[in-house]
Amino acid sequence: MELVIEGLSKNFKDTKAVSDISVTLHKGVYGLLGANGAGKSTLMRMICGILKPSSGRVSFDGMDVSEEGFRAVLGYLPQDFGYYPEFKARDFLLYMAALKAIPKKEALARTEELLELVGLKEVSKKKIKTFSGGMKQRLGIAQALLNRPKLLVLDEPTAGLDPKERVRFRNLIEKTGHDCIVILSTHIVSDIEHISDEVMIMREGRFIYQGKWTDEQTSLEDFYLKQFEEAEEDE
Amino acid sequence: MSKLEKEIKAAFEAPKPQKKEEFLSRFEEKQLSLTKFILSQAGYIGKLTWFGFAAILICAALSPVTVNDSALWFVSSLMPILALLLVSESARSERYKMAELEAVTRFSLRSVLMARMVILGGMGLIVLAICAPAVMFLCDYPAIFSGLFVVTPFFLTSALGLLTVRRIKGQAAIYSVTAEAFFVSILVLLARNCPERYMNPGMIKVFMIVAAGSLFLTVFEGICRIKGTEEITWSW
Repeated sequence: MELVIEGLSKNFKDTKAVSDISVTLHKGVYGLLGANGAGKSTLMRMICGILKPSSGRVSFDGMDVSEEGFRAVLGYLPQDFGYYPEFKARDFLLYMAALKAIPKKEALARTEELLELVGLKEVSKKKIKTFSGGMKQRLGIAQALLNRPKLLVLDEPTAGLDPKERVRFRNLIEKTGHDCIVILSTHIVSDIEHISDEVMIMREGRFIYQGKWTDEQTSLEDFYLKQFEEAEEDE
Repeated sequence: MSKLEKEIKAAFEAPKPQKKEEFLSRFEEKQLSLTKFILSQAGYIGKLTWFGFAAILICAALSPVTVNDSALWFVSSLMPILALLLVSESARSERYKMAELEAVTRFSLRSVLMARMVILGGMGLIVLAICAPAVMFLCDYPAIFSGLFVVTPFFLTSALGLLTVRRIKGQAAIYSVTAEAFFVSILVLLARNCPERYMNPGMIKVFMIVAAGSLFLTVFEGICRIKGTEEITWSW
């Protein structure tokens, strides 16, 4: 299981959102840290094939990001997503399952399993518009897991979750990370402090650090700030 | 479950599965066929759209009785509304922020859009195929006039609508397409006041050019829209 990112760049007119990123990821949880506007979402979108890179390539086990096979192993939770107004939680998951080419029988079973996992079984027949932000986010996580992804990309997944839900979410990701590659982007350090195997720190479209941080004798927050200070000194 | 069974279940609780995901991933999962996928999409088309289709069909069918000699104008004025339903349904993913989620699925946003266009395009053609010959038969004008007078507002609104949803995103696009549809519809109704001005042999070429141009633009914009799903643009 290998995700290869080679020389990935994205320009928006005069702005360089992502600049020449190369990295190879294997099974495990990877935390992508960076301030707002650092280029995290752009990078995530290119990894998922939603945005075409200006240059560079993304592949998973030899499959290019544009291939159907790549999408078949991908689970993605965007930073901001919506739903059709008439959808109930269960309808939403069944709809996404159909798009993921999961046959109805399997989709029904998987939907029930995931609703239980994210704690939404009791409200599965309620309309999504009545849900709180945290409930919507949990539903988003459930749809990302429908196809048992080998590559799970989560863009700011803890936005809108209360502290209790955050802990629950972390446990869920930690468990999922044993079987696949999880890339979790956030600007909240504590979200990934205890669950990520490696961190990637982004600043102005570039990686200023990539590797294990647990080797360092400090907290991730201090380590993160140190990387920014060092990057500023280098400039 | 009997009392004994319940007691046994409580006494010997099954262990939690280990490496379940890893085990399941070894099996090649069955896939939903393309035909089943397209059919499944019909169930996700908005109720309002289906209701709109039905309402237009009923109104058109009753028009010879209810509006009698104005049937042609009445049916023609309904065509922009039909186009509005088709265009707004095709822009549903962007409108409700589902495009990004749909784009990364196995079938992808392109298939979703194409499936909806196939279903709704088919429905639109059925409505046109019923309405156009009906008014051609019922009104006193030459068949080619009547036919063109029914299809031109439809294709004109479709072309303008698709052009709009490709350039404007979200709810604003739907408001704009609605305004365009009602504008075309009102123009058709206003034309009823001076039929001799529009229903004369000199105008047939104008109608043909507008209809052909609109049809061409509708097809072109449809292709652009499908191609555009390869990359979802958003303001960074």
